[in-house]
Amino acid sequence: MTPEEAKRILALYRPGSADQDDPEFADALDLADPGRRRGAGAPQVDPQLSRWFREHCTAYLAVRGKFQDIQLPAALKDQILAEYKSHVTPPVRSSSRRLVLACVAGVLVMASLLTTFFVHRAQHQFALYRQRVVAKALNFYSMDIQTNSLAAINTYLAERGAPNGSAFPPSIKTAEPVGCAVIDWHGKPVTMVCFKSGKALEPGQVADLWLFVADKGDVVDGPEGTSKAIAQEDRMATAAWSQDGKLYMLGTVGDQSVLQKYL
Amino acid sequence: MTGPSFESLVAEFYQPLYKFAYSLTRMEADACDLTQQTFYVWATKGYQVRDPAKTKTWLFTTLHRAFLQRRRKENRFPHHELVESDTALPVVDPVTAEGLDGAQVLEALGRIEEHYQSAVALFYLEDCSYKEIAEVLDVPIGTVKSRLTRGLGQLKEMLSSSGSSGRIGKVQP
Repeated sequence: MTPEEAKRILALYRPGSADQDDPEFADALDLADPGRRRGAGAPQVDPQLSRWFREHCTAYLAVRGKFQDIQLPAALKDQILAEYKSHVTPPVRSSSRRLVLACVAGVLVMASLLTTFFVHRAQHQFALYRQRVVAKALNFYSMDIQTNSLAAINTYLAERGAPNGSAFPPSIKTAEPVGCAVIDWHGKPVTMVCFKSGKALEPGQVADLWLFVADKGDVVDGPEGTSKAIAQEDRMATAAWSQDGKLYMLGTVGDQSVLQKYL
Repeated sequence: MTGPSFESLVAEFYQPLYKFAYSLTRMEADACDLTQQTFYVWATKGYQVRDPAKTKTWLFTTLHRAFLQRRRKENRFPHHELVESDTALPVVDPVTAEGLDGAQVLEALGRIEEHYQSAVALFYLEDCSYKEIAEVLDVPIGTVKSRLTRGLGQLKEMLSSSGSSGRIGKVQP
């Protein structure tokens, strides 16, 4: 390295700063600074460059001092903090952001659970259940088995885990069974036993009296106790009650008087 | 990232930022405005800085940009970019430098070409390494050195003429 090259490099050297450890200045400093700790292979100090370097450092420190002496307004710091408190909403830093996100996630999960809960309740309401099973009976359906043996129906229902004859009201045994089906209610089995009431049937009709039995817990807001809740659903008169954990609903096409003899 | 509180950040950086701003504007009110604006921007956008080690250069960069925006509104200077430093820096006469007061030095800084001023101010304030100055000015280190070489040369001329005549002229680009 020539003294001119060293001078060009050291022109940007800031004595007393981190520049003294910057490798970019190391070789030039070896050539210019006699006070520098030198390695075994370091070149000899150039006297002319060394004099120039001393002047550079002195001049630099003098000018630097002028910058360092810039006076700070006494109230600047307080002013910045006051402005911050009065005008700026503190930034949401990541830790706070994580908390906010966790809260939002919690609210969403809660909302989701509540929605699921209420949707579940709405979908499992007794009124909807009644509407669904009545529609089933009034429209096309096929029986799983057709028999006039209530014992055979009971066996079939018991094999499928559906509510069976042990839970049937005694009065229904005066009607003539014609078969049964297990229908689905939100994945739960509901027994539909079809009877003839003794009235004349319309052409193509095989039954005119139906008993539906479900586990009470599968239907929300069903009638409580053995008191009969009478209601008209479409063309069907219905009577519903609960007993021993089961929800019963008896229905027939026509008015309620037909039901009375079976209740 | 759990960075420093706003108060501790202000305590650490408001002085160097103000000095940088004052070096550029030479007006206390403008320097205060720029410093406050910088912290305001930090308060609203600083959370984007993921690496706490980048906080200092982020603040200096923000202040510098704010200064340039203000300056552009006031006037426009022709811009001559340098790629390589091509002249050796003349040394400011130490006697002359000692004899000047701070206002004269800053006035001289204000007279050199605009795009050298920030580099020279950061050079003397010593808050930033060359790498950090490059980040603040958003230019390569080589360009920083080029600007410094030219800027310091112009500053020396300003200070020399100021020392001899008491008046500071303007360097023509």
